[in-house]
Amino acid sequence: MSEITLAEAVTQALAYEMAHDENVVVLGQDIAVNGGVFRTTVGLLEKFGPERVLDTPLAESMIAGISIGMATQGLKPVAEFQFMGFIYSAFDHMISHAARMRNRTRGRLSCPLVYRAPFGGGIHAPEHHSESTEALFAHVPGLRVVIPSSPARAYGLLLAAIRNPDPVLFLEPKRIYRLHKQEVPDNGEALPLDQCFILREGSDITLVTWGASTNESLLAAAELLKQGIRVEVIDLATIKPLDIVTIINSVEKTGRCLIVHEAARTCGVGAEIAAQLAEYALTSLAAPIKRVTGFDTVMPYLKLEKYYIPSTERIVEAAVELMEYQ
Amino acid sequence: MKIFRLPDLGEGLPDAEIREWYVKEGDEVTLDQPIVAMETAKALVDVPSPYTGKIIKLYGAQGDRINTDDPLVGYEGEPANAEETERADSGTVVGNIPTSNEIIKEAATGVSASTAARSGLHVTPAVRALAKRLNIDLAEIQATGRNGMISLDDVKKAAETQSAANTSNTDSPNTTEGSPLSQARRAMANAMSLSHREVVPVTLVDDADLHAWTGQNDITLRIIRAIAKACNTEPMLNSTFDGKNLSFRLNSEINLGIAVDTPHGLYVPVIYDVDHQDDATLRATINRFKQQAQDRSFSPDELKNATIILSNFGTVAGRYANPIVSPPMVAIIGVGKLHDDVVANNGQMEIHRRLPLSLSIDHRAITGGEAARFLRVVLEELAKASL
Repeated sequence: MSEITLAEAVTQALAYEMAHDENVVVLGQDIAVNGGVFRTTVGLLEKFGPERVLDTPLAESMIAGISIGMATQGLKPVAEFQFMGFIYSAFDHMISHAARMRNRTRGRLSCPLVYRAPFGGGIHAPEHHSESTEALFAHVPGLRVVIPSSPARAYGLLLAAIRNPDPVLFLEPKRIYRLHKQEVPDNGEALPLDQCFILREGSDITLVTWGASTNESLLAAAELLKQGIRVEVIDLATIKPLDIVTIINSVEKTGRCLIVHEAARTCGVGAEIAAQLAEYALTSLAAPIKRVTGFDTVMPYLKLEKYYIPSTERIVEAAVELMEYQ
Repeated sequence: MKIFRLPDLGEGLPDAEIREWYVKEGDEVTLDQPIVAMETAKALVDVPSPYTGKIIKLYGAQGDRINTDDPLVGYEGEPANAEETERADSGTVVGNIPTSNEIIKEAATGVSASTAARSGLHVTPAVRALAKRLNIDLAEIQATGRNGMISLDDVKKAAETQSAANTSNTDSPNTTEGSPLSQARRAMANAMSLSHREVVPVTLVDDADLHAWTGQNDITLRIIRAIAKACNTEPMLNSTFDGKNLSFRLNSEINLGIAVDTPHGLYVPVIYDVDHQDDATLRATINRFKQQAQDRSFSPDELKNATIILSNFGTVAGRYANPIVSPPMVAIIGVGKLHDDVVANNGQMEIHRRLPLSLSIDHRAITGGEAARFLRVVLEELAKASL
């Protein structure tokens, strides 16, 4: 078995589930003949045919809408938006219909669909191609928001998302699509949704992050270890619903919390984590909760994006400040 | 192979059609030699060779449409730049995706981390800030708040108590600042506070009957030897106890701390490994301690690692006491004033010399039975005629 990238792990999960569940269909722009703009659907058309692998017109609202129709009538569509920045025209379908179909029909209909979208910056892309607006969706009741940070988690979490009986927004951190490789057995084993994953154990600081920022967070943790600061790195993985218990347990151990996300600061998911820690773990905190995030501005173009995305240096600096707090 | 890409043959033309190849694969060509006729929307253009060399691949046949900047001809030789290489699929339509061959070795579910809560005080930030402002040590505060937490009132009360204590201890009622304690008294205060917070003490008292003593007896030595014998019989009383982790360690050596009263405060120098010291050495050590107490010349090493303590207050006054156990030790023996008692012996009244003993133990670590058996050995040893 060879090691595969996060992008290839997405393909592997899609192919596995399509082979084992004939109700799974994939759709989106350029996903069939072309194999997807990031090659995450390569080979699916050849394997499963045009009935189950559908190229759609360039119309995100329509992609979201027909997925809902399919899902409520027994299919399990996995729809791809080419970039997160193009999702907004599909808001009405996602929020007003997909997220509340179960509630609206009092459980008669559910909406077992997955909306996939590459998200985040760091690939020198033009405008609309570097968004990290996961908090917009985390705010919507009825939507799960899931973000993998490694090939193995992409595989296991995407399988779990497809099998979940309710709508899941599955955001793929494109900056790390091919940054690492990992052995990912194609055994169809899903990972648990709604659960954090502790990537490094530590006793001084709890660092909570997700998506591509796990990369810089792990580099920072290794750097901090050289300074004697032991950081527990937690990959949030499921943004909504939040596994706050794992985070609280860690903060009760460390007394300090650092939240790292690429998304803009104000009302980011980090703010929700900080609020819940203030509510449930206040007396364990030896220092104020700290955030290293993007800025409250439009994601800049390629020359400036490295200043926007939380860097290893910014994370290390914030961690040292946390330790020095008296 | 180096690649020659179709140049823009007009002004922003997207593509052109191959009208006629002048060369075939394997031909040698020279610089500027026409190699192909391309038809654009406006004209027929001969494309000259950019290199001298051998052609090994033609990208397309007559009638094929070639996009501007796509490969047209492949020449033998190494590409001089990226432009001349066959471009691989970059796997994205915008920007570029960073790639590497680094292999991640972690489990999909990460690691399992310990969830042991940090030892520490649970207090709200406001309480922590108030304690800091009033210079109150949170560890010293009696918590009465919800869930055993220290409240703002607890901190205020502690501050009042501290300020009242400072006032009452001053010689002049006009000064509010107290006199700071000497180092020895400070150490005593801390040790006693710790004991009061943690230890669950039990004190057992009895009198040793010295009536059978014959010849010259060094009473201090007799007491030390009796304690050592009792420690060997009931080793738990010579152990150290960790109340936080609920664990104990039996000590292989008996290190006897001797409480010594001085004008500067209480000192507890230690006689190490009592069992392996002869009488003369023990006596010399005790005499040296008395001298050192007068001029406060104990070295820190002589005041550490006691495993059990002897406090001989009886040389001054008092029969019984409740000696305070000093953690992590679990026992202390107080010796009161030597005196004559009327005792009943076989129905007769007799007058015997008796030595009052008070044994305190930490009931968290020591059972009542262990304490009583320990005391019994001390009594039996002291009842013997001589060492």
